[in-house]
Amino acid sequence: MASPLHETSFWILTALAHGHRHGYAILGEIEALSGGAASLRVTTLYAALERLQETGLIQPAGQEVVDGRARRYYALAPEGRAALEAEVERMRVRTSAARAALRGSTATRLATA
Amino acid sequence: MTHPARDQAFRRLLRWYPADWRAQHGEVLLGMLADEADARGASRPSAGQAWSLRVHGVGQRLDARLATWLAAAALVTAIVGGALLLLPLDPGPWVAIGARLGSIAAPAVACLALAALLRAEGVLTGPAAVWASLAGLAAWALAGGAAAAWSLGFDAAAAGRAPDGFGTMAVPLGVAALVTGTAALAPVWASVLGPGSSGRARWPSATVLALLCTAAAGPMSLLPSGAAIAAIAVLLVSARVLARTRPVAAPAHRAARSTRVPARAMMPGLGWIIGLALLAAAGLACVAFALGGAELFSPGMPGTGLGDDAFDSTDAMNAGLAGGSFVAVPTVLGAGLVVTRRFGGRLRTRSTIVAASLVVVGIAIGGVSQVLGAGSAMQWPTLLAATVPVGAAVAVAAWPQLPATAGGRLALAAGIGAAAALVVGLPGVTTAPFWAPLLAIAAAVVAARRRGGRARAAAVASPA
Repeated sequence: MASPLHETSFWILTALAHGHRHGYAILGEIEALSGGAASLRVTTLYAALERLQETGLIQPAGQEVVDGRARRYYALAPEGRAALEAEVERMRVRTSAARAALRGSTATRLATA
Repeated sequence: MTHPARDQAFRRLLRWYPADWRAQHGEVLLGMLADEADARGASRPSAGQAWSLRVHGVGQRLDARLATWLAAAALVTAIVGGALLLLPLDPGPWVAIGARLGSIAAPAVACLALAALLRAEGVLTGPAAVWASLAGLAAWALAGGAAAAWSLGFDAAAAGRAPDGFGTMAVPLGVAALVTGTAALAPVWASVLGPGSSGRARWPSATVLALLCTAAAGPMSLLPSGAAIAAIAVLLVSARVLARTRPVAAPAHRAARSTRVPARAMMPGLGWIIGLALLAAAGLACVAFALGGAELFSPGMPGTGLGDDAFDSTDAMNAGLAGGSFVAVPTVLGAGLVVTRRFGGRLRTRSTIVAASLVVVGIAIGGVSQVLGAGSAMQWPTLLAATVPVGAAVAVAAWPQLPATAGGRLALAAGIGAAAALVVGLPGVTTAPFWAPLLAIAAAVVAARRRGGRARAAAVASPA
């Protein structure tokens, strides 16, 4: 199984799971998806994009100039999709365990009340 | 919306990044910064954004090339520091300078090199590497201050007076160095541990590991070899990273240099096992003579017929160590044959054979220095000369791993060889009589086990 993802990597891969995005669009997508909980600086995002590209989890998907500004697009690589799926499975196992434990404790409390 | 002044300010901040990085990424990052600033309605970079750009820019400059240069600088500093301590100079400022270079400056630069290497390899983010570098430098500066304060305090105590002023600051400065060093290393360990399932325990674990490493680094730095070994390790890894990122076609003569020697020609038989056992016995006898020969052959010992000109303990020590050194020569050769047979083709290269031969030459010269004796003015220079072939041996062994850049490979090999002469050669040659018998025993055991294994395999292959 792939190693756990850093939070920044998780949100970037999640944003790109919707389809290819350019840098600033990824920033906005992350903020929207996380409900504002994950807010990245541009520099942090760009460094993370570079790192994810070097590790093969994302790949470049073209570049264009819009209103005089360069925009580089990124897409989820197959390895990135696998890493995200592994992370989701890890979270599902943890969530299920926690839900089961909470249900059990609630049932015990009701029975003893 | 266009903000020429704001975008110009961003461009100026982007100069903190290296030029080649800017050429590849600068415009894209600038576009993202401008998009984000437009969304905030900002007319200029915020203070946080400016600092973030500076830190990320400096972090981006911490790459494998810089790591190589810094490691080389650390190595040279350690060598100079070690040389000042070892050369027969008048004690005084040179010894103090040598000690500071070897135990403070060299490890500090080696830490910078390590931070740059970890950034280049993606273990550390740029900001984490910058933090580790700055805090690491501060920690070594504080450690240097603590050492200087301790020296002053020691001098005062030796003169029979209580230390005052800066001389009383050794403990607080030492504690400050420990805390700062821990703060420098904690992000490194946090990155190494990674975001595992016990994410909340990551930072406490990283802090404890950082504290232990910092506490261990203090005593380690007192050994001049500590920084040199760290620098050599960083040099080798960063050189390989550089070679990986810029592949250079291997020259044809390298293939010839790694030609393997036929294994069967060097297969150790029963004669080798017996020979190694005899060498172990001879080596142990030399050590026993070095340590106890003076008592055994002391003047007036009944039955020895020795007069007053018999060995004193220094003569016995020199004679025993000389004999042990000369016995170590065939021991190393024999053990080398067994080891190459045991560990297979990777070691059976011409460079390994040349390196082993150089080690043997170094040990033999070390034996000559013991023949000259402790009273000879030539003993110390001869011993230093003995370290040269050992350093050359390490350089020869490392040569195939070094990147084939013009001039750089030779300089790297020279640096590694000089450091190895001091770090490995000096202790290795002087202690050869002591470790050689152990090596002979280990090699004899390995050879016997292999021989037994071959016999069993032959019995299984051809049952009666």
